[in-house]
Amino acid sequence: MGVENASIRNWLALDSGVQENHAVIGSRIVSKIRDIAELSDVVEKHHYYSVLLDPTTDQDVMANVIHLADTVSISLIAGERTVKHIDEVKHVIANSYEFLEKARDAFEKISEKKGFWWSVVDEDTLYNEFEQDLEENPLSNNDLQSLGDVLMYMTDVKSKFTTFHTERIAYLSRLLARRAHLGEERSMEVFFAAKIHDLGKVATPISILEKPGKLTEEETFVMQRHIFDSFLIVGGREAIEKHRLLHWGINHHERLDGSGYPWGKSGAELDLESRIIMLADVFVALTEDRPYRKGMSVEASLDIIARQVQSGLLDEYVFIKLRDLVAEGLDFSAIEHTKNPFLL
Amino acid sequence: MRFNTKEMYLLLFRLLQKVSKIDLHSLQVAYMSKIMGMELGFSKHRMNVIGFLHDIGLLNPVQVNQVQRMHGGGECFNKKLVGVR
Repeated sequence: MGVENASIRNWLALDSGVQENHAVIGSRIVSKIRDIAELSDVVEKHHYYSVLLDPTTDQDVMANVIHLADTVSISLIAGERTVKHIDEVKHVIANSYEFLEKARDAFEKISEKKGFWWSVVDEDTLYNEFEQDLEENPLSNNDLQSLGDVLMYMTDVKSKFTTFHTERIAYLSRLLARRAHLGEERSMEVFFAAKIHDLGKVATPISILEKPGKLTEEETFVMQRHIFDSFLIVGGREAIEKHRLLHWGINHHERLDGSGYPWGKSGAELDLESRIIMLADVFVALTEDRPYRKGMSVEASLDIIARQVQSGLLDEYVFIKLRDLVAEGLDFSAIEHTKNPFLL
Repeated sequence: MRFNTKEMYLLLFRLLQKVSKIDLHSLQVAYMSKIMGMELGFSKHRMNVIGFLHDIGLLNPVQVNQVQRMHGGGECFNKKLVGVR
């Protein structure tokens, strides 16, 4: 969808304007993943030519290895997979000033094997190679929250109408979890779940997210799919059964009377953590501007939520906790922002 | 049960797959980086991961939106057409 309409010239023109940005932004994202944070420079330098690199530094050599792999990958995607083409690729790499001698030598060695050329174009082999060599090191709460921050900012930057949407819901959900006596560890899990509750919106067309008028039935269908996309991205049923916190965010458009989506869950199927994120989402959404309306006052928003509680859509206990927080001066300006990697 | 690094990277893989369609390219670079890195004495895990994530910056929503505004759709980048480097 969409890709078919784009000429190669369109794509190249667009990409050439942001070439540097994707390396810089990528480096900022990697710096937030503790497992590989020290390699953020590798991502930033992955388009550098050899003259700009220090061959005695591991990170510079790694960056150049990736540059070389990137070059070979593009040539394989664009070109025919023949012996003649493979020989051309090997010749280009061997004679290019873009690459360090160490990187060229390593490539010469691996490219001598026919198995390499068959493996590198076989999708199943590539996925298995990737998946099997991933280490399973446990993530601390800080690691998890840091990943949540990246995914949250990615979601919020998508539209000017949601710049602080997820951040506020996460903040409020954590406060509500603490008020509901869920304990600190569980409250932090709710915090993470709220950060990724709208993750699927990264795939929602911007024309629908920012449409100034009412959505048509078809557009509403596409918009509501963001929940299902979130479900797929977090790993589907298997992941949700293993880590229950993953379904708390995915439940945020369900309603206690079964009238919500995507599955029409009701009552006992919706645990307290899901109810917290559900209500936080409604409150924050009502108080924010949308393309088709201005944000409502806190009082008007609470009135609407009170009616939804009376109608059996939202949880009364969580609503009481929200009302208490508002009475005590709930203030979103108290949110401590971490640096958004997507804003230069 | 706690999340682990493998689950985190597989989540990022599915995200790349959903939004950017550069997953095949990312896997190719991960594979080549890993085996070249092993020749050079680097960690297999780290070269695999950093090669895979080298283009993660293309998930920048501002850029994704530009493509969607120009060409429509929700799932946009495709290195096969773009020739992104």
